[in-house]
Amino acid sequence: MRKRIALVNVLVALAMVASFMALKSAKVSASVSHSKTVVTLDGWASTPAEPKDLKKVLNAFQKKNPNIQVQYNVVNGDFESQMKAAFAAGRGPDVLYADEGWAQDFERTGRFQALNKYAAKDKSFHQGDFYPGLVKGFTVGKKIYGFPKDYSTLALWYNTKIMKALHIKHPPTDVNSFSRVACAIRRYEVKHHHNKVYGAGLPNDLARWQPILQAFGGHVMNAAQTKPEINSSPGVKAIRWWTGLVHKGCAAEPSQVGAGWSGQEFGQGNAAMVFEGPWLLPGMQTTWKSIHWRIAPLPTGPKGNGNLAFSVAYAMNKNSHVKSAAWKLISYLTGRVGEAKWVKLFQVLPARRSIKPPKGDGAFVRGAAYAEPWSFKPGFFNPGGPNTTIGNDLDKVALHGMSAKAMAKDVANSIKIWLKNG
Amino acid sequence: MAAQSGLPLAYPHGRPRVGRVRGYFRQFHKEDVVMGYLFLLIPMAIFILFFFVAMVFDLWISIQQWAIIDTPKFVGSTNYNYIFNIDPVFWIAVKNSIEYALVVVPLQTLLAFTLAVIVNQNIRGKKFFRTAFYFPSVTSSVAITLLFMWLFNNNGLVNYVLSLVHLGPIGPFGTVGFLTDPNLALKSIIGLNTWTTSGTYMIIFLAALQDVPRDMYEAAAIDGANAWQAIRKITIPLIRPATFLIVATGLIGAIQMFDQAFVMSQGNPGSPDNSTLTMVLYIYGTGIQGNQYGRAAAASFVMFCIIFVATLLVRRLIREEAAF
Repeated sequence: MRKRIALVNVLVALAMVASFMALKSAKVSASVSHSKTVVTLDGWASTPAEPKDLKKVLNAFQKKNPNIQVQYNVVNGDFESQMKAAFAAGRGPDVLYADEGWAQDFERTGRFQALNKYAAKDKSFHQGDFYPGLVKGFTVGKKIYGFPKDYSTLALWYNTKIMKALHIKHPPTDVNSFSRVACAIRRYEVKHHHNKVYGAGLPNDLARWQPILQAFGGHVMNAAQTKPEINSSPGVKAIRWWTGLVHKGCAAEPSQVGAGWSGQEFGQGNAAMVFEGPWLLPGMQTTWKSIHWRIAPLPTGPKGNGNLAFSVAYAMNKNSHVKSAAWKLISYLTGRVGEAKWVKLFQVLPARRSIKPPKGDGAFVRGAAYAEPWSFKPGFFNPGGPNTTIGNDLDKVALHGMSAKAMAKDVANSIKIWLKNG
Repeated sequence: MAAQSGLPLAYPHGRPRVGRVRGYFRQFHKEDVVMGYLFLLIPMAIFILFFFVAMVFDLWISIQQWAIIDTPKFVGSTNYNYIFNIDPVFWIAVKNSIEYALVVVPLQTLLAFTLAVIVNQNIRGKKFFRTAFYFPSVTSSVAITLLFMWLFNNNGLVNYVLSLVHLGPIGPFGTVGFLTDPNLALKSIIGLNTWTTSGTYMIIFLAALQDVPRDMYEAAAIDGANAWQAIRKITIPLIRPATFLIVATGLIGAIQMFDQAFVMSQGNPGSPDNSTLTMVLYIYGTGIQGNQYGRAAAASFVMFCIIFVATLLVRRLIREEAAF
């Protein structure tokens, strides 16, 4: 008797597993059985407001295109890994968010559809309206694999209370005045026994240092990313400027004051000036309300301006079965009407010059004109790769006695190894 | 044998027929055999699919160039050649992992044993101590690491206390860079993990200690053995299976250390200066983040070999000392 009950239990368990599987496939088939063309769209939610706002834009799109139905799916967790798994299994969505940081992995393996032809045929699209630097981040050779939905750049965030205490009326506009102000603030704070307050927060991070390198007239690599250019006089000067401020104690790396990133350093009041993007805003409005701050353009260097653009685009799956509908969606979302709607709802920076940015973001918008894309060939961020080497070496030059020239050589070497071995 | 030593027979009604494999099932009802396999079916399927097949698949990936979203390309030993001869950090990762394991395993085993011996005594509040020592093991390692980072960062409580007792300034900025000094970061993780994992192993030691028959200690006491002699001559030899389990699983866990190093060096894996780059962190960075699954698989296979050999060594070491 007991054995029979046990056998029944096992069978019931197997039946339950089978029915769950059946349910899941039934759900999928139900959503496809429409007469409309279904376009799947996958994206992440940077804030809970993002899906809500995007749904509003998508509704407007569906009203205009009644025969297309967008099946919008918010992916939680590591978006990049999940998309890689989905594409590897041949189940990638028709349209998806693509971050500059990893888009090349998909572009160079032929998983994204080149959009040049679609954009050229679409009269209402006005491709020339985008900031060229932003589109460049999704271009390999001459093929464009994505059009940006919005972007962020860096700006100088400064603590107005500290500036006022030192009677500094305007934030520094070039690297020389930046150094002077940073060191003056540090001297003032030490005099008043605020030993944990530094003039600036400068992390060991290419994503913050690169604009300075650009302002000094240097580059990590040539534009085609085929050979290193950091081992040059502007490169060494930019290394010296950045690490020198930390070495002298006028500026501090975030970890020196127990912060994870320079935004936190600024928010905690440990640094009077940092180079950060608009993503710091929510933190300043909630966690670090007591800090009074303003933003200004990044300081210029001997060779003018520098900045970085971090942008996210809409890209199309090369294996999509509904490419013309998918293009209609991309064209709307990144077009003059859809992107304007998106910018207004979600308060981000428009990738098109014709769309008015939200108020108060002037410093970020100005950066877009000269910003370089944050986009690298695959493998740049690997352990031991160029990005890690730059981070480690900036720290070594600032605090552990490495010379700037040795760093330039070391980084150039790691770039060569990376370029040679992929 | 049994009759010679004067002990009662283990099988008074004759041994069950277990001699030949073919005849083995005859002693059971047919239904029992079917049920047994049915119950085994799911765990065995999971084991074969996710461990055995995955392992063979790993070996296959390690000789391909593959970004998982493209088609794999056979490259022979290129990946192994890259990680052994070209990659600037693979050997650093191996060195870090081995250094970590060599320090952590003896430390945590010793600490766990000491704690187990202490809480096995009849002391006041022993239940409290058992709970307190075990507590770090049931807490999420990520949460513990974050707390640890707050305590030990340059602005944290530990540096504050050090400055109060005038031990600072030691570091370049008047503080000790537990997490930011390349010479200290791995040692900090060693300290953290020895503390968190010894609780679990204390429980295993405790269970083993309680299995040691009381009368042995009583006999030893009558023979005039002191406490230290009792531990050395009775306790340690008798809990040898538990020691093997702890050293072996501890070693495997130590070589596979990932979460603490990952949390501590968010943003710049292995920072400061690759000092916390462990093998698994390297594999994660190369495969999941860097999209070079061939290289990551080759590194995984190397790690598998290291763990396999290390476990065999531990087995031999603890077994051979068994004479007592």
